[in-house]
Amino acid sequence: MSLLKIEGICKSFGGIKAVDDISFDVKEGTIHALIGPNGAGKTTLVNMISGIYSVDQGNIYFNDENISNVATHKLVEKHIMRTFQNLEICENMTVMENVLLGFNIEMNKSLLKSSFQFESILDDEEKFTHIALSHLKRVGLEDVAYTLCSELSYGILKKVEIVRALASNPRLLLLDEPVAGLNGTETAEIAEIIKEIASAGVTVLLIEHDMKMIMNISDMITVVNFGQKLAEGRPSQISSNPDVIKAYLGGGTLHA
Amino acid sequence: MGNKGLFLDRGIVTTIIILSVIPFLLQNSFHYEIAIMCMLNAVICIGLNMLVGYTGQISLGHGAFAGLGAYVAVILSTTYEFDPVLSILVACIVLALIAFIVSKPILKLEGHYLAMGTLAVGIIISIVLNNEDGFTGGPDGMGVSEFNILGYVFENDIQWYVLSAIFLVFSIWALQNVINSPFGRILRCIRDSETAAKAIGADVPYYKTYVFVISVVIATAAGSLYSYYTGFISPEESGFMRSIELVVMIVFGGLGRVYGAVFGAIIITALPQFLTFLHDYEHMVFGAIIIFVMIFMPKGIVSIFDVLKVSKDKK
Amino acid sequence: MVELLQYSFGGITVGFIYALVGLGFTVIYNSSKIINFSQGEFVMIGGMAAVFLSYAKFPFVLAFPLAVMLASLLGYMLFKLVSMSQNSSVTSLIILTLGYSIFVRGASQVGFDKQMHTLPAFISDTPISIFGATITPQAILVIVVSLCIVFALYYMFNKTKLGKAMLATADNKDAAKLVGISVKKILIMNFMISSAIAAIGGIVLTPITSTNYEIGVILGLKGFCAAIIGGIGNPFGAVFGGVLLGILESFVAGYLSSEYKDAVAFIVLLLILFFFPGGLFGAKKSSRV
Repeated sequence: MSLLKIEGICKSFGGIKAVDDISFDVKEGTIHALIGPNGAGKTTLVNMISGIYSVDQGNIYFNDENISNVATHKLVEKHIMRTFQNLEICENMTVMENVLLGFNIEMNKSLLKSSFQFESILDDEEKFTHIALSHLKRVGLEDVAYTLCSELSYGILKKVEIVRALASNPRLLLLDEPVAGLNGTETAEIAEIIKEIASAGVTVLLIEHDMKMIMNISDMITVVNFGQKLAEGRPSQISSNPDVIKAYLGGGTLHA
Repeated sequence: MGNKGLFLDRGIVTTIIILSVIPFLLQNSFHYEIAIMCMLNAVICIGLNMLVGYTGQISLGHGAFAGLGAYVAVILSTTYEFDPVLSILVACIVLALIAFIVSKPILKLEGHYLAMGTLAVGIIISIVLNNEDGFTGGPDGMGVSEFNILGYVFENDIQWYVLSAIFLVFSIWALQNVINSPFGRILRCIRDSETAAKAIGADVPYYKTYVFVISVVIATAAGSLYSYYTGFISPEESGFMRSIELVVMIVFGGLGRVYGAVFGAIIITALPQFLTFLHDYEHMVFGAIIIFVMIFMPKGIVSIFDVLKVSKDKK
Repeated sequence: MVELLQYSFGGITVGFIYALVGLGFTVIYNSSKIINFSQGEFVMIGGMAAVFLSYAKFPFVLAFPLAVMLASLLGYMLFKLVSMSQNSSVTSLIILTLGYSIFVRGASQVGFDKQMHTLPAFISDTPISIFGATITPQAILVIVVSLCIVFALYYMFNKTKLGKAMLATADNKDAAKLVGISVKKILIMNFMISSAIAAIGGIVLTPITSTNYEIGVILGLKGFCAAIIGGIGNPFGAVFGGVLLGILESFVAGYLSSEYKDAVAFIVLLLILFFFPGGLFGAKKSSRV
């Protein structure tokens, strides 16, 4: 079943058409990759899906509900979470605090109750701290749980952002270049994590440039170039598609 | 940082002890006035710090809101003979409404523009307070009615000291609780990354407005109490310099730290009193101190304790 | 009609002072992204120093440049303080410049005094009549001097190598360094120029409005409004903003209420911030997520 349906969406910035009539479906429980050269419109697309940019034309459906132009924070209530290309981590907070933010929609945010340290608030803290710790253990970060993020490496923070996004069991997870800037070992670790996430039933839409990882873990790949869909298919189909090869190796630009 | 689940942590207990001891050191009414002024300023700063330090929204107009709030309360109880506590409550509601309306367009601004926007609102408020002497008594100010809670009149220094101290301790405790709660985490998240806040489901404008309104209400309450204590109010309390003074207090003390606001308020309130022997050199020295701290202790006075703690941990 | 003209003259005169203060803000902001809350104090120092030097029997031709130099020196001092500051957050720098303004005001209080002072008009006292409205020669001088400064700055920024170096620094410090521009020297010059033009404005204004140690506060704030109204970063915007503000203030004071004159600058500022966020001539901002 198609959890996410993108239908003919377009986005322009001034005179530039960043996304030009793109359509594709993401089937539930799959890892769907979005690839293409730099500037192809991938992040713009994800920004539209996650409510950061408005949709000029076209529609986005999640679970058969039209979510075009729904604000980012409202999408979280529908269990759509994402990570960012440029890492949006709260540096002045600890890893644990960042992950606890991931549980935000499930927690009691009453100012009155928290001022007076109501039992319900304290219980929530304890409960979610436990769950957060178990998540962090699964990715090997339990030792830095109480370290300030400003003191941690980029690779660790990339993992923290993923844990934060996963905290409240999203149905759809949008990952924008989760392994950009990471070395081989770190990349393999993240790839494992993504595979585990998908096997637990989470649908993943993944933007990446790391071809090896993409080919390894994706179920479906959509290729975009110059804001348009270039090709779509399984990894084996894509790697032998002449248009794709031309875009990446022919006249197009590629990066590691 | 507070320990979760404990009603009183080290910081609060220390504060209560210090506050209990201080009256024995105060020798006259003037000393009491400074102490009470310090404590009430600290309360205003705790609220302002929540907005500026924790949520990252600058406000250079808070003095005006505090002053306006105090005027509303004081006019109600003095000119219209309302009950003082009711007057403060009404003032809080009125200011909450005003703050809410102002916040909608203002909090869309960022950085320097937000600073200037809040500055402009503050100055306009203070000009209005200065000019509408029919209500406010104009630049000369007006006398204020007595203050009582359910008939119990507050008329001597000790009573006011205790009231202010309770207010302060409660504010510190409440703020500490909030900072470590989901609500507080969202605020701090907004400061570091508004995008991240959105991505975890927080309606950012809602929280910014919420904090702005709360900080104005706190300033109103504390500002009103101060006017009742001194028995007098003037537009100077809502002036630009007052707003600046408040921001200097929280930055000087340490932004985004509970006790930062408290230390900052105490030092900046009390310091000029100790500098009076310098007579006309007072302002020069005051300015120099601010400059010195901003250059060499950018994280505020409270960072001294961090340094001490680090060296203690090393031993 | 005569009334309108009269108010306009008054407004334009003080408007140019706001323009000079706003220009000073713009010059510093462009080069270092700092909002200098002590800008108004340089206006005050210019006037006060000129007055006291004249009391000390310095001939005006000496007092004028000396006063301007004193202001420049204070501008240099501010630069040094700012460059010593490690924490460059918006709030910290605002507090630093505010602290400096308190310091300079305090120093003026002590070094000069707390009284009002004035200078004799430079040319003559006799008002000139234009279409029935009067304007003093001093006011005309304020306008002329201000215009000269504006054009001098324009010439410098656009036609001289030094000016181009300044523009380059303002745009991209690192790139400027790479082509051999001494960024530090440029910044120092910017601070000193900014304080100098404020001081010149203060001196020529003194015969009209008198001066004392506190005038810098409100002048600084209004000058800042002028800069933002015109679009912070745009020198012509600052000038336009300043003159516009002066005229609006004058009209409000004349036709509506003189009590609320001071509020005009801030009300206009708010309107601009809400409806023309980049200022009347500023560039629109957009950021990439």
